[in-house]
Amino acid sequence: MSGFERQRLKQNYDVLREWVREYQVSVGALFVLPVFTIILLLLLYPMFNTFWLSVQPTTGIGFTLENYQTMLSADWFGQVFWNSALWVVVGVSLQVGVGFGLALLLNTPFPRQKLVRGLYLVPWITPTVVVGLIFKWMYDPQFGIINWALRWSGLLDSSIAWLSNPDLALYALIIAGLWKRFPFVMIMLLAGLQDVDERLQNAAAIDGVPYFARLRHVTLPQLMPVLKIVVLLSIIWCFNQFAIIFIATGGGPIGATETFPVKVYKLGFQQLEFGLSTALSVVMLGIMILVMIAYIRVLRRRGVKL
Amino acid sequence: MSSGNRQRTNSQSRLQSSRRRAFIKSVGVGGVAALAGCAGSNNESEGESDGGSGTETAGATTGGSDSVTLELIWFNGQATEENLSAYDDAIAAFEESTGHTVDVTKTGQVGQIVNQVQTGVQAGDPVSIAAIPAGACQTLANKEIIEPLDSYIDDADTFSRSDIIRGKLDISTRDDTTYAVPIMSGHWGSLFYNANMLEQAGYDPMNPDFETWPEFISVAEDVKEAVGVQPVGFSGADHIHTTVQWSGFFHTTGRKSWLNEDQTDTFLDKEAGISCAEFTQSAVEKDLLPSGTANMNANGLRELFISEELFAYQVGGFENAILKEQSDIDFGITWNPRAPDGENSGFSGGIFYTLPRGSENQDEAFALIEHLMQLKWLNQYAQLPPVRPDGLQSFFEGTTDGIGRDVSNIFIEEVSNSGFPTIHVNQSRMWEAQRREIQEIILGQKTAEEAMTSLADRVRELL
Repeated sequence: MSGFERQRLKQNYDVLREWVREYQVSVGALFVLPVFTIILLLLLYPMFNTFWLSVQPTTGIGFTLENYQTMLSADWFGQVFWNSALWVVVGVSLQVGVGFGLALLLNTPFPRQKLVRGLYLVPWITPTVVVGLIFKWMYDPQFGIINWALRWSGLLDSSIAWLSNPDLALYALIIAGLWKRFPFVMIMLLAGLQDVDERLQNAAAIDGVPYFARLRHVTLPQLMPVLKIVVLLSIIWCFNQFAIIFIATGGGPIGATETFPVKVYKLGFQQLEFGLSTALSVVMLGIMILVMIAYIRVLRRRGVKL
Repeated sequence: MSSGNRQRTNSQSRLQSSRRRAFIKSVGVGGVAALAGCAGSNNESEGESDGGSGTETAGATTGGSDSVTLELIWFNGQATEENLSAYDDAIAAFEESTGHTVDVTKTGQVGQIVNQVQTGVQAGDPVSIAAIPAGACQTLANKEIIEPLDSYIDDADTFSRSDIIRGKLDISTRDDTTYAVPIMSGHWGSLFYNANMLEQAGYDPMNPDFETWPEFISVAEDVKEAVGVQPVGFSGADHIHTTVQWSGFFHTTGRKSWLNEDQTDTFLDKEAGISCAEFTQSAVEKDLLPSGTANMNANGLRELFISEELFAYQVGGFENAILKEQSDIDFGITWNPRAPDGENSGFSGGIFYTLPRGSENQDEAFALIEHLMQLKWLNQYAQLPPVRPDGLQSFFEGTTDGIGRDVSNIFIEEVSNSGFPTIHVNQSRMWEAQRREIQEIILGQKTAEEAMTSLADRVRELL
């Protein structure tokens, strides 16, 4: 590089530095800006396009709320809403309960502790589609290991068609979802538990506070920063869960396992009702935003900051 | 700049522009799927859309000064290497004879093709030709996504309407206007049975003489008693197989559609529909269906059949090769059990060529369709039975079942005499309703008559 070029580069650098100083621009923000812009575009364009498709008439270009009217008056909407609510509420409760219980267990010292912790992560790293297939096979009335074990142990005389029974299918799939998701909750809470102040635990123990009272009043408050994020992410993931259900039952029988994502897929890619499909996607997004707002408000009322 | 350079620069610019548009389209489609929580592929869905997966793009070359570039989306689900190679040869022959360039995108997911066609038309950048499934013809025609083709078909040199199997053009005809050219038939309507089980039950496996539904049920009861399996495979899952299989039985009543000719009423709660539903109900009542049928499609039935846990199930001709490859079972193929006083028939949908609305170079695009509809090419590249009767003969010629009998006549007759449940813009909703009612029968929650009354009411709402 010649001396002239070096001088010009320095001048440009000085101008930029002066501009950054004058307008109090964060240099870090400048570095992040290009990536942030690309991500924003990649997020905003599909979102806008989805909304745009949802308000398009069947033919031509225009604006109509027909898809929303059809969707809200459809006989399946109530069932899909109820299935989704059950799937999320029961699913997340079980995931957090089981994850928390196992985190407490794995936080106590025992031989081969690290190996056991690692093994518990296997479901988490198993692809969701594979989980769907595994459980479909496990629940199979003819070849499935669950029915075989129940028959072998004498608990059942004949197989139960877990995924073909409209009263059982959703709960059977909630167990599959639990198997897939509990390791995430467990590992996050385990990390949180390792940050819990032992002096407080010991002080409470010396004062004769029973185990569950210590858990409630000493451990849980210190876990809240982790727990609130874990619950938030679990709700989002659970609500958007598609592959396990679709692979295992396709939403059946008689719509018993049809949740929002499954219905969106079926409307869009099987029934070619793109307008309805995108309208349902927008409603899904709306429901999720409302749930998040409610969740954050409840936490704030209880003095927990997110 | 020399004219040669300018031409190259323009050509590169067009290519870049085309790639940009393709990128924007794919981001849009991906975005919709991601927003819906459906990001990531799903293999079961491919089963619904005739199976297969993956995409690949054939390379393109620059044509002469009068040449154009055509973009074609082709369905390659279930295609063999020979089929794919033959398709490439057919395209190459067209390029060589016309000087045009054809960019072929091959995909095994028909839903993706339909989505791409619709998004392309709405974005103002449609592909030149797309191969879409039968079920999408009415929907896309109604949404004005595909072009009417009557004038092209009437002027075609390589084929005419009479060259195509009866009923196929009806699927793509809306308000007396034809919107798509049928290529090959997705076919369901032959019964695959375990010959050893039939023999164990005291019947001649080489000459199965059960022709009607009651005869079939009676034989199935004997097989159940002799072998100890739940012998009858009915698809009952919330899956397209449940519609096409049940419809395969329905068409044996002599009705080629669930709807009447002017689409103002349905036969579902009449003799045809109720008797077909009673066939399902009788199998349920006699405990002939395997446990879990309400969550089982034909893929599950195949697993049971290969494990010798099932006596018989209805499926299409494509199953023959799959069973031969995946098992060493002695299986026979026979006519689809039919309604008493009915006829040999089955379900048949298929794949159709369309010109998306507003696409460029439509004359050249239809010339390519004409080229691909020539029997010499169609017979080579069609992975499903071709829609031309002469092609059908050659497609099934010498086909034998698992016990070495020539069964080509069974397939040919059933494809030629097949039906399609609903040629209507709301057909997907009707099909979904049908699956729900069949599940109700299988789960014992409704009688055949109740289910068909409820289904007919729903169908009439949608007409």
